[in-house]
Amino acid sequence: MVWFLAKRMVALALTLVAASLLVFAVLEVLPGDPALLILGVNAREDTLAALRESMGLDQPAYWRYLTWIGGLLSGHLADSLTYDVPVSELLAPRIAVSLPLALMALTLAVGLALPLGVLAAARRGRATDVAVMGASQLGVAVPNFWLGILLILLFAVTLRWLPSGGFPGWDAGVGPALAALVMPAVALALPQAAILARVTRSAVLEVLGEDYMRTARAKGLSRGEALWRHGLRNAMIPVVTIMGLQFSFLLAGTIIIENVFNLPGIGRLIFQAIGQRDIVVVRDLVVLLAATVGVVNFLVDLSYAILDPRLRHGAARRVHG
Amino acid sequence: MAVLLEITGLGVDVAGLTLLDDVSLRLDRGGSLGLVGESGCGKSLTALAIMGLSPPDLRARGSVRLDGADLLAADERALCAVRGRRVAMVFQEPMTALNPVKTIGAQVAEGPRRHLGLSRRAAREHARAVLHRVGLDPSRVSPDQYPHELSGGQCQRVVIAIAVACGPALLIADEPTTALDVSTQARILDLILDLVADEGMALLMISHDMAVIAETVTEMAVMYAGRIVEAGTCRRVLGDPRHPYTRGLMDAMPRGAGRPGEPLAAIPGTVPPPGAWPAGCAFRDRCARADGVCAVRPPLVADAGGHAVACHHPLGDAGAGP
Amino acid sequence: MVEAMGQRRRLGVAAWTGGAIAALVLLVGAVSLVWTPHDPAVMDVANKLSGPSWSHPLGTDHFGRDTLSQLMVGARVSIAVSLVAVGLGVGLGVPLGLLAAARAGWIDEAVMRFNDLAFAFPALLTAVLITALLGPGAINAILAIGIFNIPVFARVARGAALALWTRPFIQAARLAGRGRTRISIEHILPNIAGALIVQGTIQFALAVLAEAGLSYLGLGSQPPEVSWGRMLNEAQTFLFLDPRLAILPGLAIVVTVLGLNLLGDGLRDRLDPRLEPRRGGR
Repeated sequence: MVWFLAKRMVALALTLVAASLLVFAVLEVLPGDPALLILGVNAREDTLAALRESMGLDQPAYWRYLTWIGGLLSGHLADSLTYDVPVSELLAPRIAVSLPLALMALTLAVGLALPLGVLAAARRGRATDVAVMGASQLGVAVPNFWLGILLILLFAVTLRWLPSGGFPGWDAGVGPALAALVMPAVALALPQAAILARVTRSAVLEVLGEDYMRTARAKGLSRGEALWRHGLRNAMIPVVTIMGLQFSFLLAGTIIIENVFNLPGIGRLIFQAIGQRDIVVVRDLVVLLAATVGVVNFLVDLSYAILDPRLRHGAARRVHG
Repeated sequence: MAVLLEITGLGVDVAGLTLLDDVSLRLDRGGSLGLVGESGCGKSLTALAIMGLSPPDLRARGSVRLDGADLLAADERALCAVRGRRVAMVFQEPMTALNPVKTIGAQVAEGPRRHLGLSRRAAREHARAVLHRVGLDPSRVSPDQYPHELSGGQCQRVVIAIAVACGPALLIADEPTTALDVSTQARILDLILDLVADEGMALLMISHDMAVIAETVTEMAVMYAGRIVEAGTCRRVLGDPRHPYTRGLMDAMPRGAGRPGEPLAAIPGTVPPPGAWPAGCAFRDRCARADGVCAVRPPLVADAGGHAVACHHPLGDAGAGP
Repeated sequence: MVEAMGQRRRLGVAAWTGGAIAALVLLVGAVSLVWTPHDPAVMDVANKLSGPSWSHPLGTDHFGRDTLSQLMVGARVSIAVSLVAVGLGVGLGVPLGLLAAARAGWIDEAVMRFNDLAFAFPALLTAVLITALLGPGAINAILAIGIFNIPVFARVARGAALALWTRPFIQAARLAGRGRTRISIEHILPNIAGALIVQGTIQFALAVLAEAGLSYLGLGSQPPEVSWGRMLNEAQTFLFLDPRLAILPGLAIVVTVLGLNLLGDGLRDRLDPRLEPRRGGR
């Protein structure tokens, strides 16, 4: 168990190093001089040189990389090129938008998909199953941003129940802030829920065919009890894998959904920073997102160990997928 | 002796195919009965039909009476009260029959907690005792261990513990030793016989292996293609087999004291899949004695000693003894 | 040699429907190459935001451009971008996967670690990064989407090929002295084609979604070219005035993706040997 987690930790650290190197390298070869970007094309050459020196741009690449990573690790982030404040100051208010949004969406997706998937599997081939699978087939095909537009059309334009976009800030009160996040969360969640429901259904169906389910029934458990007590935990293993993958989709989805709903979150920040060539913001954000994805995957691995005793005891067995 | 289990005219169909036809069996309280035949002949299906656990798209007809009450007519709630409490089952594959994510103690305790109304703590203690009874000494194999930490033989002991935990009146053992290595097989069979004798359970032993049947039960039925072709006491059936198929099965059996180097006889051909069974006697395509009459299904007819055979040309006295 | 895959099931109604929808979208895209009701780029400000009429069956947008014509060209762009992107993934990913399966050891390890790295980033994020860095446009959108298809196909090809390498007929070819590369091409590839076709159909659907997303963000094909994603972006401004413009391109995307997914599911049932019909009960 300890060994298993230690291995995963090392893998996570290596992935992050690789990711940061990649981002750094890509931004390094990118055309465009940050000093020129800040001061404008009419700046004098000596002013530019002075700025480059103060930004450390005259240092060799490996040194700048190490300085950057050192700063990240010590929590001391450099200043944004366009906003002129440390990236950490840019991040805080935006995380306050994106994190609740992602969590709401995840909760919604899981809360919808798990019960529906289990229900569909338990009633395989019957009307409930057909309806759930039909809805899921449709849900997988709907782009989340179009779903967002449709929601705006229905709830903001026609019914006028919810704001069509923007974010009032948490200072305006929890009610209005949540109201601004409801539609984006639904738009993000439904397509993911559709995928998760299908995965859940097939995982449960697979488990229903296992021998130990028959053993459970032979003990006198009803179908429902056998599924609840013996089936679900086994079925959760592949489901958790997909949930982990989906979290990174949710993160990426915020880029587009925050644009649809005009939300001042991380996704919109990174989108704008890329457009403005704000290298400092881009590289920090990319590593932050990669780290988040890595941590989530680590949690997924941890939950395998909790779900499956065979992994806990270090038995030689690869997890599904 | 009082009749415990009486199966009359049991048939199972799926999508127009007949998998099991006109199976009738009787088992007395505390008695023992063996069901033998090649794989695919319907032995396991018979067991699952008794438990009411045959796959949902299968339809059963006839009657399965346990202490007089017809299980085929019973509703799901009543069946749940019977399974594990009155009738219990040991399965073929011990490694997959146990839930990999639950401790063995928890898996044994589940039945008693449900059927015997025990508290969580009492059920755990009970499970501990039952595991000890089946040969898993708690000082060596803890009830808190998981199936993957145990050997195949130990897992089968757990499966047996689950089955006997609530003291059932009938124990069905479906090929309980087939998946185990030879040295373990005998010990598991001994354990089953020991438990059956101790608890006064009736035993329905299902096997493809004549030797296992001969060692464990007093009465037997031979199945072929979903029907019973010969039935009676083991002494009569094994001592004087009358159906050519029974004879074939016995000849295909290695005999410890036999002449070494002599090749084993094999029944020509293979068991045809359901749907490809010939009309009349299903064995006639593989039988040397078959003729035109065999196109008519032979009825299962018993002699005065209760030895029944379904064959138009049963083996005579010439078949007695090798 | 393609092994028999047990009893084959016929394609179901859903698969046929999906195939028909996909073919229809393909046809519309092809027709748009030679004919559209109007020039999709021609503005007719006098007729802007008009509803359906004889001249404009699906109405016009805020510049008076014909919506039907735009949708037709959008289908073409969407298909072209997705097809090339998936082709890129197949062309590079499948050889990588075959190589990894044929040569266990460090090559396999390297290919799989590269895959893990690619999966560590949210695909859309990197696609946004790539298109933003290289500049927006159809070519760069293809590149951005295609890069994510490489590890997907590498993984599918490797998994399916690894299972095959243990099979007797491959072992026999090995013993007959065939090289690993030749076996991969002659024996492995035909046998994993089913799995690749299934994955290809699903990736095609995902590519259509990704292309729409990128062009919605303004990172896909640029004006005067038309794309469903950008039509949606522009329509959002006029949501209060004319919801029709926001609904039609979205429907086009949904129908296309739905068709491809139905087709993919149907093909999987039929072609993917991993989902061989289970053998009948005891």
